[in-house]
Amino acid sequence: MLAGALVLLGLVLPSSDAFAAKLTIGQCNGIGPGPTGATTAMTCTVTVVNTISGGTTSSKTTVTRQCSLGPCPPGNGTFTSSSKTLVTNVNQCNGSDNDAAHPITCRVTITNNISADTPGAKPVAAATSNQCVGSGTGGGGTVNCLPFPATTTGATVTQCNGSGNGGGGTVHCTVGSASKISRAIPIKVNQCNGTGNPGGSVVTCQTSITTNITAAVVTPSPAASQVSRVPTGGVQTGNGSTAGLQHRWLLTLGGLLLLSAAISVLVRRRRVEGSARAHR
Amino acid sequence: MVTAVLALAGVACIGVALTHQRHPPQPPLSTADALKPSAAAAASVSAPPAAPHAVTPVVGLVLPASVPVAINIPAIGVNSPLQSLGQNADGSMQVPAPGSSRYNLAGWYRYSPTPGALGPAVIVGHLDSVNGPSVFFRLGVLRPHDTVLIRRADGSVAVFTVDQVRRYPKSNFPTQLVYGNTNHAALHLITCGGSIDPATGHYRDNIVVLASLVRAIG
Repeated sequence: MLAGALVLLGLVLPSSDAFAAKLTIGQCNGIGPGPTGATTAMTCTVTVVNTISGGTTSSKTTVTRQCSLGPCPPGNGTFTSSSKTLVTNVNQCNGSDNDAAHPITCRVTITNNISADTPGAKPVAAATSNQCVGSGTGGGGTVNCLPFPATTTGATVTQCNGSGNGGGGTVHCTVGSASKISRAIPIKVNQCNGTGNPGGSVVTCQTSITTNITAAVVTPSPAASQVSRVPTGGVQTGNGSTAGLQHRWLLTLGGLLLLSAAISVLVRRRRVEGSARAHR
Repeated sequence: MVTAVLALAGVACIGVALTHQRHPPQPPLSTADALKPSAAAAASVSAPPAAPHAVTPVVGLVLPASVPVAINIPAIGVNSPLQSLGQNADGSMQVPAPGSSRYNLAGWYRYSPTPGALGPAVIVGHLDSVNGPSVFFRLGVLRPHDTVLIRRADGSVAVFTVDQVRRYPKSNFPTQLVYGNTNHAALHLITCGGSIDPATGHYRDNIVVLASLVRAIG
């Protein structure tokens, strides 16, 4: 199923890394010139929602491709896929549409939802940029990039470098000013590099990365025992004095008194009998 | 004349001895349902055997921890300071020291919550001594809704009412019911009951009173 989804997405390269595997989404790269490549216009977007919650990961990716005068390989359209693997890399619109002046529009939108108990979830930091370097250099070329200049090495977003260099070429590239990343999901976006270089091309590329730290999902765990040491067995709190006959001394005394009375009766009777014999 | 006096005195002694026999009240013996609280207490006792430490919402009043210093049970005339009890080397619970020849002191098991705090506070007392009845001799007389007062070190008095009074064989002691977690401030009173086992010289059963905190004074 995942393999099928990867085909639909165009080019997806799974990779292994610390937080399980990570996915790379790639599309609209190296298109044109060619018999099936776009020659008039190209619009490609990637929208990713990554989620880490309760120690599990998931991602949902929607891509769109729209190329005029021939489809963007492997086909125009909108495609959605879900995975248990996070999407961390997006490569699109690189080395494309270099055959004639065309409008090229590419956009990457990434939303990361990370539960607060995820290792490395905090802090979130501003995404770094490296863009519009060596672009729009043709005569009358326009470079309209934000932030600019942006030359961070190994940046989160690398886009629009070496693009729109034909005479009159225009480059409009932005990295959303509110873009944030977390170490828990190390995002890399590469798009619109070496693209739209014939004169008059208009390269418009945008990247936005939103990182939300969500409340940790608290799984109810067994409460600690309220009795810290549970004793074994029952409790021995009796001596047995009330279990059977009580006041044994009184019973004994009573018995002795009755016995004495009986002996007294016997003694008296013998005396009476003895005295009667003596009279006879 | 002397004989008649002796006979009368003997009969009187025996009569007095027999009429003054005192046996501890015995609640009905519980066996198979040892772990099933009665309907009266079902709402307040939560210690199902399958989930010994289940997390459940706390019900009712719960007081901050404070060591108990005395117990008063008006219905049976108990008024005793409380000793602190631990465990014996074999893991069984210590029982109160004599205090007097009648063993008239009750004791709080210090590894249980303090009375009024969340959980089952456990207090034990002797049924009898070699010299006759002891502090919890009449524990079996208690009935649901009777009051048990515990004076605590912080000056407050925790007021409990009895939920149920049961007797369990020591050989099948309801450990989970007595020591398992509760969802409320509980008080469990224990003493001996049943008949004497000649082989061991101990009573065969334990009487267990389950009570719940209803209010605090002071």
